[in-house]
Amino acid sequence: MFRINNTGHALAKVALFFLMAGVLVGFLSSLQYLFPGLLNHQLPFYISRPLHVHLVLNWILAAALACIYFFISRFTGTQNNKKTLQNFHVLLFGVTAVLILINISIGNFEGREYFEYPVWLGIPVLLTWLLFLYIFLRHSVKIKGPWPVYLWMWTTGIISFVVAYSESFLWLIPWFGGNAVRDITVQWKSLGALVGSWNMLIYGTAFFVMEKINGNKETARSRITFFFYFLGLINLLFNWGHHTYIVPASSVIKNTAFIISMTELLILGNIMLNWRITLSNAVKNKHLISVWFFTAADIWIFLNLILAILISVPAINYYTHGTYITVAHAMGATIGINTMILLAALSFFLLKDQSPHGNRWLAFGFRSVNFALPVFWAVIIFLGIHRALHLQPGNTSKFYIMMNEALPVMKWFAVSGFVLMAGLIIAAMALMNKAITGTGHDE
Amino acid sequence: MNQYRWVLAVILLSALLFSFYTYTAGTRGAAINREAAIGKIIFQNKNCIACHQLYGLGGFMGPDLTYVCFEPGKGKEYARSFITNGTEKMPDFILSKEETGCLIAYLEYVGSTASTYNTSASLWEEERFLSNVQDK
Ligand code: HEC
Repeated sequence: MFRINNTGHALAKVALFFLMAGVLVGFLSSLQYLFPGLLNHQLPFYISRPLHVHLVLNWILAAALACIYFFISRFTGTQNNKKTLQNFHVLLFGVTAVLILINISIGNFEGREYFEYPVWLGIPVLLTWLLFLYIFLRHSVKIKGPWPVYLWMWTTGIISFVVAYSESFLWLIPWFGGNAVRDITVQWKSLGALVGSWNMLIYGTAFFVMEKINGNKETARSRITFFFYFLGLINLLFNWGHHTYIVPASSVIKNTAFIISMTELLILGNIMLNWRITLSNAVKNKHLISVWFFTAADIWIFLNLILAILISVPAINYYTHGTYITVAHAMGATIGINTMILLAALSFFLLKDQSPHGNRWLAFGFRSVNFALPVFWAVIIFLGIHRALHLQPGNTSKFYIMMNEALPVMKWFAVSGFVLMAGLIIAAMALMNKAITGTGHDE
Repeated sequence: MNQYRWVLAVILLSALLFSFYTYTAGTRGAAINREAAIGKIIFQNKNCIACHQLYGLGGFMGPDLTYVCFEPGKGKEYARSFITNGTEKMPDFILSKEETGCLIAYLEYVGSTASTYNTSASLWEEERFLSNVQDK
C-alpha cells in the first residue's frame, strides 16, 4: 500500500525534482526565443511555456507544503500516529500535479493563462488545499498560547489560495466570462491574490525557520511583525489593481491599487532598518547555508520591491505594462525571493551539517545562482525598456524588427539563463542527495 | 492575536465589499456576442495566450492583441492573414474558415471594449473619457 512515514521528506524530494525539471524546461523555452524552429514538433513554445510555469509552481507549492509538514511533525508536539490522511493528501497532490503536466504536454488546453489545463482538474486542486487546511488546523489549534505570526501567515496563505484559485475560474459563469472588461479584471484580481497567497506560505516559513535559527521568540509575536502581516494581507487583497491600469474598468479599482501599492514603501523602509542580520557568529556558523540563502532573499526583496513600486506608478506602468519588465519582476520574486527562502528552509530541515566544506556542491550552486541572477534580471529589464520604447505611440516600426534588434541582448538572456539553470539544478541535486541518503536530520 | 481580531474583521469586510464592487459596478462593458464567444473558446483551446497578451495578461513572444483589429495599419484582414498562415515563430493552427472568423470576432469584440486603448497619452484622461462614454 502507498505509505509515507515522513511526509516532509517525501514532499521535499518531490519539490526538488519539480525545481530541476522546471528550470530545464524554462531554459529550453528561452532558447526557443532565439531559435524559433527549435523542437517545434516535439515541444512547441505554447506547450513548453505552460509546462515550465507549472513545474516551477509545483516546486514552490510542494516545498512550502514540505516545510509546513516538517513544522507539524517536529514542532507541534502533537501525537502524529495517524498518517493516513497525510499520505492521502500527498498522493492527491502528486497525482493531480502529474495529470496537469500530462494534459499540458499533450496540448490539451481548455483554461486560462496560468491554468490552461482542462477545467475539471481544478476540482482535485481545490480538494488538495481544503484537505491540507484541515490537516494543518487540526495540529495547530492544539498549540497553546497566542499564535505566532507564522501560524497566521500559513492559515491566511492556505485559505486565500482556496479563495483566489476558485475566483480564477469565475470566467466559467457568463456574467464574468461574457464581459471582456470584467473577465480580465477578475482574472488579474485572482492571480494577484494567488501570488500573495503563496508568498504568505513562504514568508511564514521564513519567520518560522528564522525563529528556530536565532532562538528569539519575540520577533514572531511582536506588534511590528503583526503590523507587517496585516500590511501584506491588505496588499494581497487590494493591490492587484495595478495590473489593470490599462483596462477600462472603474478608477476606484485603480486608485485603490495605487495607494495600497505605495504602502510597500513602508516594507522597504523596514528592510533597510533591519539591514544587518543580528545573529551571533556561533549561530550563523551552525546554520551557515540557510543564512546565506536568507541573506540573498533579503537583497532580492529589496531590489524587487523597488521595481514593484516603480511599476505601480501609473505614469510608469503605462509604458512598462505588457513588457518584459513584468517578467523581470516575476523572475526576481520567484527565483530571488521565493526560491532562496525555500532553499534556506529546506537546508535547515534537511542538513545536519551546514558548513560550506561539507556542502561544496550546494555552496557552488548558491554562488552560481546569485552570480547569474543579477545579469539575468538586468537583461530582462533592458529588454522591457526596449519593448516599451517600441510601444510608444507614433512608433511605427514592426514587431519583428523590434525583436530582431533585441537579439544580441537575448543571447545574454540565454547565457545567464544557462548558468542560472545549472546553479539551481546543482543546488537541488545536492539537497536531494542529502534527503535520499539520509545524511541530514531525521524526524 | 485576540487584540487584532477587529483589524482582521475590518480588512476582510472591506475586501468583500471591494470584490462585490469589482464584480458588479466597477467593471461594466459590452457583452460578448455568440460568434465571439466561440472565438474565445478557440483562443483558449489553442493557448494563444502563451505568446500573446490581452490587456497585458499573457506571454511575450508575440504582440499584445487587445487592439489589433483597430490599430492604424492593422485590422481584421491583417489579423486574419497571421492566423491563417502563421509565421516563423507563430504556428499555423490549421483552423477552418469559420474558426478563424470566430477568432477575429473575438479579437474585434475585445478591441471594441478598449476603444481608447493605447492611444491616449494619459491614463487618467482615458479613464475619464471612458466613464463619460459609458455614462451616456
Ligand atoms: C508560439 C507563439 C505563438 C502562438 C502560440 C500564437 N502566436 Fe500569434 N504571433 C506570434 C508572433 C511571434 C507574432 C509576431 C509576428 C512574428 O514575429 O512572427 C504573432 C502575430 C500574431 C498576430 C498579428 C499581431 C500584430 O499586431 O502584428 C495575430 C493577430 C496573431 N498572432 C494571432 C494569434 C492567435 C489568434 C493565436 C492562437 C490561435 C496565436 N496568434 C498563437 C506568436 C504566436
